[in-house]
Amino acid sequence: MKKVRIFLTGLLMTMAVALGGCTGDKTAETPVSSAENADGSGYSATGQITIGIAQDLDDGLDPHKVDAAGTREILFNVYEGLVKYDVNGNLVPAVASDYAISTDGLTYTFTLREGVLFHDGNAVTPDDVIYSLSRCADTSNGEALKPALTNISFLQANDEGKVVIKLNEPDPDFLSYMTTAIIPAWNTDPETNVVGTGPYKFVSHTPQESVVLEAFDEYWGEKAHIKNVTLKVIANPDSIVMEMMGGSVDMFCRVTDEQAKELATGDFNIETGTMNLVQALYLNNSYEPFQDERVRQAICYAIDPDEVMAYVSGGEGTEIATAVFPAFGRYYDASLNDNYNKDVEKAKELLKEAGYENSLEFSITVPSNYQPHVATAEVLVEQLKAAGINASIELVDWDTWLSGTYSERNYQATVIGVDANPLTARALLERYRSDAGNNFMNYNNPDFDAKLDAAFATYDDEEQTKLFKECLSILSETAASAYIQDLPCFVAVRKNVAGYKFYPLYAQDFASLYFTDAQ
Amino acid sequence: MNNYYFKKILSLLATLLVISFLVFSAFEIIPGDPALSRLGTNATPERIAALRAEMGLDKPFLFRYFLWVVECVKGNFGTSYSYNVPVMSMIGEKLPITITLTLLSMSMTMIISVPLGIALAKYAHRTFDKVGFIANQTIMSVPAFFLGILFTYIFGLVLHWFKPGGYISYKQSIPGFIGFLIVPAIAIAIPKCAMSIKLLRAAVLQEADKDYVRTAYSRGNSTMQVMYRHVLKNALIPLVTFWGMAVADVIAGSIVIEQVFNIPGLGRVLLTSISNRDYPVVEAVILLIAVVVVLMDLVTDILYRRIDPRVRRNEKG
Repeated sequence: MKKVRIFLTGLLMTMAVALGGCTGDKTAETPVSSAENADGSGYSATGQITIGIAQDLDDGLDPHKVDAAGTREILFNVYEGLVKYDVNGNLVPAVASDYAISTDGLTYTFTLREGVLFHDGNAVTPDDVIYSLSRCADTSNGEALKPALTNISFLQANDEGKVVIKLNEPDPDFLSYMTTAIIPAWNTDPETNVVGTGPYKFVSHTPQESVVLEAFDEYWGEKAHIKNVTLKVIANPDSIVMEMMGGSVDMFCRVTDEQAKELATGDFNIETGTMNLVQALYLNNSYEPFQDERVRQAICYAIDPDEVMAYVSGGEGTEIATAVFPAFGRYYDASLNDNYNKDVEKAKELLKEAGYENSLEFSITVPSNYQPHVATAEVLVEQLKAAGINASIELVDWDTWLSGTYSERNYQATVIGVDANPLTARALLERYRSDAGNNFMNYNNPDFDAKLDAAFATYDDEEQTKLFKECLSILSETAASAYIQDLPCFVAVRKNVAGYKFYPLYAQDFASLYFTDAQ
Repeated sequence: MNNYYFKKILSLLATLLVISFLVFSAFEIIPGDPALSRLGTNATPERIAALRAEMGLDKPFLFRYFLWVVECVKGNFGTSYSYNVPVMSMIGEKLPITITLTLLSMSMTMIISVPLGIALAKYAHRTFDKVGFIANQTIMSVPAFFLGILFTYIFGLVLHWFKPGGYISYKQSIPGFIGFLIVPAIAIAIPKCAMSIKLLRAAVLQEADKDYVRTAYSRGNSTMQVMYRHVLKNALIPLVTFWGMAVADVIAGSIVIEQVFNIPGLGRVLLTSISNRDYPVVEAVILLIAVVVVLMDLVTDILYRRIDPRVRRNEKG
């Protein structure tokens, strides 16, 4: 196996197609609360932890503009919206203490939580909320920072100090956009003034070196346990293990299977979750052979996700057969995984019918900076060969992938992981609509489009869930792409630190970490 | 003399112009786009267009290059696309790291190689020289990054003499900062030392047969006196040339050693800026390296003149 040197580097730059944001049912036990914070009085966070990050926060610090997953998951500690995601991916009140939605789904009323302070010491007022949301909905510079917020027709505080939002048309996903960071109304330059309401406040950022955070003592919720958090950029993936073993770094999210094994022999615990993304051999449905559904199905029959997992991640990972990962409990249907159990004969037969017997050739474009995708592609090439398909791998750097493959759709097949941001079915499914701007696999199926439209048009939750599941089932049956797995996520944490939590989205919750006596 | 410096400065400017143009063109040719790189997969055509306009990328290539040159002449190297900070302050912050590393490794090279080179020459063709020669050849062929990995393992993980990756910023503690850089500096210095020793030994042997050496001996000087006062001065010339190149090499090669030791210096900035397609930063770092190379050339020339009056005389004649 070709050892890929640059692991994870460019990876965190991405948003909708990306890896990371781990989740899992394995959440650590709640802190053995130290004497100070048991009763909440005289609370103070202590200690210092250094956490390695593969990618610097190089798309800025403005919470309304950042896209990179690696940046979002860090800023999760600094900023909060009216609501925020909990460890299960549910939206819970944050800056707002409560909210009410009118029966027509058009009016949202948020009650602001008492005693929520910004890191500069001022209390959050309705003005701050209105400023933050209108900043994101502002279209004066062309497109709004958060296009979904342009649906807002009315945004004001009422007499009771509640924030009232009216929409032009109902949007079942609207609440998920209320995770938009609330920043002070005076802050016209959030890039420079990093002031939020989260459990950690921002101290400094030295490009390519480190980001320093400090526990915010006046946080409204459960306060952070560790006082100082230093995020250290480790640009060279080969030095991760050495630095951790040498004691310079206490924690690293998303180590490889190999690194995890090595670190486990030392002073580290390995937490295992999932990346929450749809890893697939994405097929460009416009590429001539892939226009034929039978060819795409043949590929699905030729590959074996279990073998991929065994080879790439020591058997960890969850098989998927359509465009949804298991964290979406209500849409995930494990029975679809049996649609294409490995069957080389069947694959050959389908190819023969389609006229591609022993003559199908294509190249798989893979971003070289992500080892699991490269390793996956290597296994796939071997599996496809057994079915008489001649696939070759073309490694490209991340920027080339973004422009050539993703943006210009100039490719035949690619291995990548696609995540959902926000955590909604719309984010996962809309990209398969024939006219979607991010439909990089050029999937074109009028039945699917109709079904999707029907799902979006209905307000009945149950009916909508059913329609979404049907959409997912269509993607599997028509072999929109060859779906593989939701990758496992390994987090290495020094043995004296506990409390790591996996989220079903991009979030590294540093506030939940705490020191134990065990070393 | 003035004419000489005038020519040098002109050639420096021409070099910079050519290099900057090449870098600009390279980014024009390679795939990838800074706007797309920043927006990732969330990009929509409208947002890309807006950001490209904001970055000035919608203008024609030659026009952008011209604009950039004009701004550089004014001393404005632009703003980093990735970090929204002025390129100058970003590089300014990293420069002390690279300079310290270069000074440390170069002074180690000089301090170690001069006495050793002379000693080898003095005992030429005897056992000490033969063993030294083999050792030297071996060390010379080991690349610095490999030594770096070896040192990290032996001194960091086994002996615990230093903390791998435990880089301390010079803003936090200067002794700690220098302390951490010593190991990387040794890794850089060792192969350079070996090369210097080889050059010096050969040069000393060549000089040792000359008349002035015999004269010096006949005036009653000891071997040490002859070596350090008379021979060394003449033997240094090839060495100075090599050291001049070595400085430029250390700065340009910092990319590799910084990766090995996880030092957030200029090399790291260059590398990430290339992958982020952050042109202004890449241009500035490459220009800086080019300036160093040309300046070292100039410094070497000046040193020649100081060491060897013949060079000066030739120029006049």
